[in-house]
Amino acid sequence: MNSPMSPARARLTRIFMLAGLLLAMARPAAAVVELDITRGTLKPVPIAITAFTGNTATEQKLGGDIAGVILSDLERSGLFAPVDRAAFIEKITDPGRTPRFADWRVINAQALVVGRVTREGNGRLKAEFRLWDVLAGTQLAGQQFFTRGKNWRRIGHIIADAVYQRLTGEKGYFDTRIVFVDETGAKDKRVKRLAIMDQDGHNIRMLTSGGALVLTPRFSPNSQEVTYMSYEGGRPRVYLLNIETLQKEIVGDFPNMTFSPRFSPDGHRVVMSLQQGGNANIYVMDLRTRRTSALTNTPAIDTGPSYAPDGRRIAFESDRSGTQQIYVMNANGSGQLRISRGDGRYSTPVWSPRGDLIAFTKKIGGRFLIGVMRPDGSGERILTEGYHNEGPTWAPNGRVLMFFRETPGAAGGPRLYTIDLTGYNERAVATPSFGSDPAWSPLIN
Amino acid sequence: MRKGLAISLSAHAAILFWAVAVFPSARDLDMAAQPIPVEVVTSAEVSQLKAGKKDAEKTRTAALQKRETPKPVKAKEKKKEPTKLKRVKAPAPAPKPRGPSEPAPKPVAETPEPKPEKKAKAAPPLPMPLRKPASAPKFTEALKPERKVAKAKKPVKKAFDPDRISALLDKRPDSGALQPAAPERKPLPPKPAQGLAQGRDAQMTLSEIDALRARISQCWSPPTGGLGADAIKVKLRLQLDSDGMLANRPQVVNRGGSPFFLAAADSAVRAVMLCQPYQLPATKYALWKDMILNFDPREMFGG
Repeated sequence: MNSPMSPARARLTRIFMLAGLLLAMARPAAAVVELDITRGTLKPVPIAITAFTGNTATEQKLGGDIAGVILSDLERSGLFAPVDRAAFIEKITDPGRTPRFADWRVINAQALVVGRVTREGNGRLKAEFRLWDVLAGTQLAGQQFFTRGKNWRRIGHIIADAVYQRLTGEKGYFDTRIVFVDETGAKDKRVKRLAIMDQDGHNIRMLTSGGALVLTPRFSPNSQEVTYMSYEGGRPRVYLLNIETLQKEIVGDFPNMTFSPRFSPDGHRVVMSLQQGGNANIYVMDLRTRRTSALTNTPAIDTGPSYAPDGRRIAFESDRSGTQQIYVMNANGSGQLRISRGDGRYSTPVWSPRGDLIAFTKKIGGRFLIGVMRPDGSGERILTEGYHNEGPTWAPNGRVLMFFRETPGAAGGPRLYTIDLTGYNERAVATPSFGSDPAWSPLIN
Repeated sequence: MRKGLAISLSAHAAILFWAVAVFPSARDLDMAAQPIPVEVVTSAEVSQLKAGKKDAEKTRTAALQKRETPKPVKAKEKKKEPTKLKRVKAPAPAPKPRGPSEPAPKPVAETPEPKPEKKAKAAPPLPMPLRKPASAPKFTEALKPERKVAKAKKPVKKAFDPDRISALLDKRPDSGALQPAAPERKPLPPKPAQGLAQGRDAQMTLSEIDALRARISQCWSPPTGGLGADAIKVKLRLQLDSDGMLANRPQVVNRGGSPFFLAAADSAVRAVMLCQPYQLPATKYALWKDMILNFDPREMFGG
């Protein structure tokens, strides 16, 4: 007899059948061993960067030069170890074809950069590159760029940024510039000029003539303007300079000295110190309305203001407690709170572009240290120390700091250095003469 | 009814009496009678000792040589030597099967004996899979005449031949390939427990796991310094061949959309590819042929 099932029973049967089917399909738990790998090494990634190919001799020369820029950028980051070109087995003739990975594995390369340069009409330059994972045998990135012929170094930096970002996950910082104070002449008669260069020290250009003392240049968020302090006209004032047109203007018309300026992250305001008798307080000026307002009002020296990347808070230094210490306040001046708690004097706070850290200069026992701490003052770490280190500035990805270090003696003077957050990768930055007060630009593009 | 009650009561009373009488005698389990000396050694220490370092090898071999030299003096004590020193002995028994003249007087039964030793000794120092046929034929050639001689001289043992031949066949790939895992996987049906989950070695020991972890850690360069990079975890599944090489490309099991995850996943894949071949106990192949690795760099950054 075939009696019809009740709907409830039919549903139940279906559920059981489905469950049975799922059970039948499910594979037995295959993996037996499960391990947690909680430590790795900090070894730089071995990377092979081949000379970019080209059809003509000029293109090939340019291809070699561009590869040289990429190699030097990645090497200086400390995260990559370029493989010696003499060890290369495969000669790349067509960057469009898959390379012979075995040839690159043999020389212990883990990543491979290949590319091609083509000169197009109207002076344009086309550069394309591919980044290969040698061990996995896969392409990780591939892009092409166009630019004017004389910008070939920039193409190298942009490609280095792309490689850096793909392999580390964070944005690069190679396509950036540094504005700093170029110092020439004897120690007692120094000529200080505002200068700008690529982050690797190339393409240097003077922005001021050297007639007046200049200090503390800072980039605007769009990298087109620089704000700095100059003794031009005999009185120290904060200026704004367009780095393309070299037009400049005074920021605010204050009767007294203004110094230590810095842009807000949106570029609409400049925050700076204003001298008031023996004291100094922090003021903010809106660049559109030209209105200024005081953020601090204490019988002490409050200076060195630096915005958090979200523009909501400002870090600054003050000696209101008796010695220089770092404080944090809201962007309207409320909620002022001391965050530096260690021994010694703290100055020049600079908020990281990614917001997680504040860099500072610390003076203790006659030595100057560059360090970082969290915005609540915890986790203080010293990255480097020396006779005189000062003026840290962040790379746009918040991973590297540039600062200047002064050497003692009559022949001594300031030089620029970079150090990364690990504190291990310290490099000198090549400048034609002495250099101080560096400021790192945001990424140009 | 009453009868049932009586039976029940008497049965309960009997059980109660038995319990009172028997349990007290079960107490005297003297735990402190024989203290066992225990030395506390962390698994990391053990694995470090086992893994060793290249620089350390010289001193170790030197130490072994020192041990070796007294041996000939204590020639009588050879049989008493502990199993640990078997490795040192390796060169001594090796020449026996090689000598072409020697196999003749020896019974067939002897030939299988030195070879397993050879297998055990030769396997550990040579992680590279040598599948080349070049070395294998040499051994087969060497074995053929042996068998012929043996068969010719001792036809009486014909009854045992099938077993012996199969035993010989088992050894050939071993001695030829010097490969720890391959022979145990295929041609050894008489040892059902080997490499199976039901076997006695059904678990990786702590030191084995620790050594594997240490090895992979050395191959792994995670992307560091990125904001939040330390919070990124990558779950990787790998399948290994019995020779310790990856059977296929490792699979990233979990997902993440950020460039940090992409870079971290790539670095983990690179690490396991770089670390090949994996030297793991061949008898436990069933356990390690399929593994899950969780790459989590928090500890590196003090988190």
